[in-house]
Amino acid sequence: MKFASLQVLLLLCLGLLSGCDKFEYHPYDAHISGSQGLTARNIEQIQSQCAGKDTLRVAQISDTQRWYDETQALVDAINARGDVDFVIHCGDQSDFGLTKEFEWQRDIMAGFKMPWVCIIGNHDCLGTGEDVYHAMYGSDDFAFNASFLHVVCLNTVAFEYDHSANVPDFTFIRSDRDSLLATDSLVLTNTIVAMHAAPGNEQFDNNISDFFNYSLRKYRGLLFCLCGHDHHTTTLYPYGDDLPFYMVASANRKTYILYTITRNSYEREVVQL
Amino acid sequence: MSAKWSNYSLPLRLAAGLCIALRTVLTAYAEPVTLSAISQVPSDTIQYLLPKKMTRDTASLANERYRHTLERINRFWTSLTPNQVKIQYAGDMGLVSIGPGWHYGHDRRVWETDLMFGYLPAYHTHHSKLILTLRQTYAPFRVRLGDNVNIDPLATGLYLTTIFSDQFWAKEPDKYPKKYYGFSTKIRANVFLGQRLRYEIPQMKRMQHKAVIFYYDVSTNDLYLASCATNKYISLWDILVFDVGLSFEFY
Repeated sequence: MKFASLQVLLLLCLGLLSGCDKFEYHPYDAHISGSQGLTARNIEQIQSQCAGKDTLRVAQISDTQRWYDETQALVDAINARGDVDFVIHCGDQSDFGLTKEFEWQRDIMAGFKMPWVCIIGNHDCLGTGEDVYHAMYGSDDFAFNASFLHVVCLNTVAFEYDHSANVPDFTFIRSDRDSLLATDSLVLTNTIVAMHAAPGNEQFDNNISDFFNYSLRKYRGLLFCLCGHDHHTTTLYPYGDDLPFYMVASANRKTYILYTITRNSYEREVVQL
Repeated sequence: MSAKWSNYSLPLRLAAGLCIALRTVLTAYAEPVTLSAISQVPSDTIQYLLPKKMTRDTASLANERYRHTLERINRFWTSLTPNQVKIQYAGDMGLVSIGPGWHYGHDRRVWETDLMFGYLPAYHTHHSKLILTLRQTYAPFRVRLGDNVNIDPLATGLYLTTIFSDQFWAKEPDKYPKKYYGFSTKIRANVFLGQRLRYEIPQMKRMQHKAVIFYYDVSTNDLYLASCATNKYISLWDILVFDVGLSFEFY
């Protein structure tokens, strides 16, 4: 009798303890607390909030890994402008792929007053990081429409996959392009493509670089591409000077790039805090 | 695959070997177990005190030198036998971990070495995982609360964990340029501080154990420290990990 009541007490205690996230099972346990499925939720907000706009303002940040203070500063600065429609994070939010790192970064970016999306970077693939990314954000290839602009976000860190996965996923790109055929080309006029590693980078599968170029250029009114990974702000032209790849610096340089996009034209402004 | 495995296991094996060697040395110096009384008793009694394998040849135990050798061998292997088992919840070693351990040194329990096997459920990954932990504890102080109860106000130490899954590597795979990531995803080092409450079971009530210890620890690991040290946003509280457990001492 006495022993049984002790057991019940012990089980009760364990029940209480398991509710407390301080009792961690492993740094890579992929036991996520807090919100998940964020990409779908943010895309929905972008599509509804940007509908009908003639001018879009898009902010680009990248490589915020283990620079939490600086990421917070970037979130505050982008919020303070008050004119940004949505933010694209070009990957590497985690440094080691730890579950907690994803939670910390997510909680900082939850401070954005506008919707935001995150692309997967090579550091995000470490350990169980990729699984955490999928649970917390969703698919690593996704696309959405913001008024006249089609935004494609791709996983391009092929080096992490040893050719065991389709990275970049041309099946996704083709089906995404096919889905655009049903839309009005006078309403949905332009496309931008965002990724972590640009063609030519060691993370990119450079064997299919030409086919990647061919596939992207089939997109309607392709304006430019976004990328990160190399931790400095620069413009790359891997496929000739009509298709720029704009790279933004890592968060430690407290830099974001603001794109003011109208139909068939855009302006780019590099902001360093 | 075999080359990979040897990469992973070597540091762990070395550490385990070192700990066992350290323990043996410390035990020998701190509290030599004497079986001197045995030499006084007749040889047919000794066969009950030595393992059966050693004493099948009862007559030979009359040879004192040979008997002492057997006793020494017996003493050596007895000192390597685990004398406690721990079961623990959380603490970066799995949801639940369990494993044998050794307490030794002054008071026979200033030092502890534990080998823990942890179970980590799959959660958002594809499969559950095994975590192996080698844990070294130092608990120098005792506070007596009653006849059979005392508290160790400070237990501290460190542990190394290794996780078994093909998602992790101890050393960066050869495809990467040197120092591309510069750390191991597979091996983690934790430091901890904790306290324990020890209940020594009265002699006549003992069935399997001599004492039961309830303990808790607060720990953190190398990668969390690296994150905390370089950011104001990450506080010390953010990187702390708690665990609770029970330790059963056999003798």
